Amino acid sequence: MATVTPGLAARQASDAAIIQQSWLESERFAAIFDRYYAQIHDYAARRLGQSLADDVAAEAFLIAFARRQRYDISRPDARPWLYGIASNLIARHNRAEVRWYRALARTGVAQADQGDVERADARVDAQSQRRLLASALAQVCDADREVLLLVAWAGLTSGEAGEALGIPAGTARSRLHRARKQVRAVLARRPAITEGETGRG
Amino acid sequence: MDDLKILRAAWEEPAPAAAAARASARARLLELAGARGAGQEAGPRRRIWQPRMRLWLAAAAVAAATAAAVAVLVAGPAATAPATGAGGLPPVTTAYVIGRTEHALAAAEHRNLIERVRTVSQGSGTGFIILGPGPGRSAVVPQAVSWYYRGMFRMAGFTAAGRRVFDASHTDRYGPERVTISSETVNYISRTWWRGEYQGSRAGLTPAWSLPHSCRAAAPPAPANSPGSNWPAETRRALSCGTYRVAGTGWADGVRAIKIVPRYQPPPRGLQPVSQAVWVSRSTYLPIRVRWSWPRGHGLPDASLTGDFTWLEPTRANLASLRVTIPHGYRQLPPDVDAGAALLWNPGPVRASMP
Repeated sequence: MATVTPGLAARQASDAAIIQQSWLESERFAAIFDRYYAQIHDYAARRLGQSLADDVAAEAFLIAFARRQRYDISRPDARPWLYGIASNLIARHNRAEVRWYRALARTGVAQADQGDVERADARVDAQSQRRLLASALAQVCDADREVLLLVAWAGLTSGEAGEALGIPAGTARSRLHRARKQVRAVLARRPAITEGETGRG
Repeated sequence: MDDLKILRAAWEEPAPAAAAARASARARLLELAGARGAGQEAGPRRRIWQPRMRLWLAAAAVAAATAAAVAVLVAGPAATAPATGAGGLPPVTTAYVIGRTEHALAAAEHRNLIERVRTVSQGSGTGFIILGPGPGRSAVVPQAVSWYYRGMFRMAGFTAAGRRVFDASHTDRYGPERVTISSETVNYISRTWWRGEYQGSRAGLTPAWSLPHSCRAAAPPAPANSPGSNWPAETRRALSCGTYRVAGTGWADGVRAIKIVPRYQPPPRGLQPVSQAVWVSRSTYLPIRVRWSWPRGHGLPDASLTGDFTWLEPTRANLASLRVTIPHGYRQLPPDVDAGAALLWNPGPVRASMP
């Protein structure tokens, strides 16, 4: 009778330890949810807008829970794993994502979340910059964009982004480099476009 | 300004997840994690359940779901048995039985035997889940038949009444640095099927059973395979770590068997125990039955997961069992490597501790 995994205080335990415990004490996985739901939701919201973020974040944790026995417990930090799952889910909405960036590029405000955006930001410069960046993101190829956004928005290193996407660290670095080059090229044009758009030139 | 910083700054912080959405997602996760059992709703949304599934699950018949296969008895490696004991059987000492069992599993691997397991869950909190793709396509069922052979895995899930709900194959190919995972899944509820393929770095995807040998992670594995798992390898590791002891003899699945159980310390006061027992054949020392059971508490009935093993020669006919057949007329969905079948193994509120 009895026993399988040691009881650890969830706050002190690494993600790997919690996930390993959840193999037999499944409700412990709630600690992973509590740690990272907000981050995953935030990432999904940036990429797809609020309307899809709820579904993506919930689904990501469902998949993570179902796959927890495959988690590599030699990796203490579960963020790359969770972001990898979320990225796969977001990839299903690839067209929606590109539409979202194009909408932002056209208007600076996404139709779906217009209210939120308007409340959050009325600054014309920021809006113009966002339009430029959204336009750049819509043009960056999907694979490069994945790495760029995992680094810029999820705060992963390029190595962790590679881990999340299942690609070698070197490949992640080169994709990041390519994507950043495209973004920098767009930003280099910023002053003229901003002036033209804002009518201040 | 650094372009990454600009990228961060240009996008205002998204509004935090609505408290209701977060609470709902968390409640659904916990629901899946054991508060409810097979036959009840699972997954991120209630609407993902097909209403008719509940009707199927309410039935109480036994699944009739096995592919024709040739069972073989595996003669274990030659070993000197201890003196015959009562009943004409050798006395079962822990060291002898564990050694023979470990050896039998190694021999099964060496002979490339196919492991076939019919697993039935009872009570609540455990079953087999098919995930998506997309809403309305996930379901939990209480029994499954699975096959495992050298990284190839197939699992067919059935309702309690024996109706086939899904059929999924899953193949992992681990190279030194790269891994390829391919899957093929048929959902008999939605009459759809899809493939999935993932190729990438092995980083982060190393399964526990292939990590350098360590007894730290040698907890007894769940009594059924799931995609990516390797029950024989995990069990061998647990055996070699001294995790099991002999607990008696008896019969299992019509075969004379020796019962071995994990060496557990009593759980801390107030915590409920999980119990596990493995029955190994007295003639082959291969596992023939594994059973986990745990009290549910909270007014829920006790739950268990029982797997009955058959070890098959890798004949052409038996190897064909590892393939999924797509029924004629089913609709193909876009590839999705995340969607597929998995073991939902949820002792729920049980607490336990390893010595």
